[in-house]
Amino acid sequence: MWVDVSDSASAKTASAAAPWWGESELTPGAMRAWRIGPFQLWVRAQAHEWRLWNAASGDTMARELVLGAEAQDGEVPGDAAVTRVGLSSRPPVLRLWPALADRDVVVRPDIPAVVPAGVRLELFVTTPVWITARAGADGPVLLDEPSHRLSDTWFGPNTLQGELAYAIRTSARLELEELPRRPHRAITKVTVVNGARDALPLDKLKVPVTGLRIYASADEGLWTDNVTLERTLQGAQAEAAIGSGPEVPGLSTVQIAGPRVTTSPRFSLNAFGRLFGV
Amino acid sequence: MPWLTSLIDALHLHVKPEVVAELVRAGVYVLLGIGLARITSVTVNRATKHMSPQERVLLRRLASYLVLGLFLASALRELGFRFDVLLGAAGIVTVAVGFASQTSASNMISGLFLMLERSIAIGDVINVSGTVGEVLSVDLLSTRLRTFDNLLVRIPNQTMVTTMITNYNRLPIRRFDLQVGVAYKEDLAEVERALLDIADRNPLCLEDPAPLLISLGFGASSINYQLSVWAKRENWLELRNRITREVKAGFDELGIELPFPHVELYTGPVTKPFPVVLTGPLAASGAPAPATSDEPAEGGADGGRDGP
Repeated sequence: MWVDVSDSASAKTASAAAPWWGESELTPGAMRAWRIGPFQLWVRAQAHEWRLWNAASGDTMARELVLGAEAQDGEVPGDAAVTRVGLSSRPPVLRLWPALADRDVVVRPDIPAVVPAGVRLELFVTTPVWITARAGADGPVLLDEPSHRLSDTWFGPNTLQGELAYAIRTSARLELEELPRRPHRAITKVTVVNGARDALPLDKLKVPVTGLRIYASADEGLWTDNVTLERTLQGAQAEAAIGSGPEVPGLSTVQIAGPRVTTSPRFSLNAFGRLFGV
Repeated sequence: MPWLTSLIDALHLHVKPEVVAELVRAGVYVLLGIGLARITSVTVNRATKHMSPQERVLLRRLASYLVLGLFLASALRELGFRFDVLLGAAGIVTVAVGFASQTSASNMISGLFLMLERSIAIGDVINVSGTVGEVLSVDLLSTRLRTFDNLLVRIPNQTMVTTMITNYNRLPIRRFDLQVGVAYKEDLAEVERALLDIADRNPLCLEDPAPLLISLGFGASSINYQLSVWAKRENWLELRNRITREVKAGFDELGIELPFPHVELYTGPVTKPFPVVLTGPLAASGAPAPATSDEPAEGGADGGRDGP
């Protein structure tokens, strides 16, 4: 089924029709194609092997959705990554599921903000999801690729200490209604509480996405647990609290995927700051 | 076993029973020592799983040799050796051995310092005085490297301690510096924007630390820049290759010239243009006669400005 979601009205219709995640029974030997925003996937399940091809266009604003359309070999671009798995499954069932990034994400607002002392700020950020594919409900993982390849970054006080993360630039909207909905991105509400005595310059903040769960709302949007980052002392340290589920106005949500890494609901982390001199 | 019976009879006949007992006790000590040394080695190996491989090997050997040494000394004492005489002679022997083995001793002590310092570990890629390779082992006397063309290099530990060593594996991120020269005619603001944009679009290039652009000044044939980009250590080589390709492609797309070295000859306005005379195959093929010295020749009199 091809769905053109290039305008917001069609987007609502298409997203309400069917989510891209779930199970699809495949015809042995036939190729099927999916397109989830910038991410394209082709799958062919044969008697003793599965082949998956994937490519990403890099257009993070893309909203196209194609769900299991018939495809031909010639449609696969030459630079698509191919995965070949020796597997027999009758009938072949493909399970597609979203997952969050495999590293924490450093969010850099397009326009840096300042959070005055004692102020609580709520902002919404979206992160591209990873597309995971399994053979059936309990079969082996065949694919675990980002829908959009994020840029690597280093988050730490210097080049000796810190950790690798992904970087995204965001408008960091304060109003949920302003947030464009895209099928390959999950929305996270981040609450920044500046309990310290000095203002907090919000050049970048690290969102611990590896510990978040994914939820689907009734309008087929993707959401994560809410995150609260509370700064109580000067510096970059924060107390992070992961909420139990998002709060989507007027819509119910259902958890569809667990976190990559199991963490406790509250922990400390180095969440804020400029590099080299927080 | 008739041979054993004959041996025991011969011993009874020719050797005093006390000596036989001493030999047997010494033998038992040696066998016990060997057995306990092996057990000690296995126990130390299990207990040091948290340590680096070379530390484990060293501790294992030290412990087993110590146990074996103690039992050997007990065996020798059983056989009647007097250690006080040995200790007396040991002083003289030590001086002699010390002179003879000062290099080995230095290597051994250097090896201990290397392990305690932990500046290198098995698996690290290091550069020692221009020799680059992967560390295979840090032994008591030497360190072994495997070069990338699969040669085995043995470096005495004393050399390792006294030489500057560069460890490519120790830190998680690494910077690559790309030197780029652009033609003098180019718009430098556009060049700088293009270079930073190329770095920004490459996902392997870290956003932080941010890519750095440094102007290196006016070269003989180009205006030179250094584009410094950071990558995860494992991606460094791939970034190095990709960024070079991407800069070339990006410059080609924008029409920014990457100049080749060229020299312009200029003698000032008072002299006439250089005459160009064709010789060889072109002359033989009947190519048009060159311009006279009063007329500029096509493409020749301006010193090759148009380039090949």
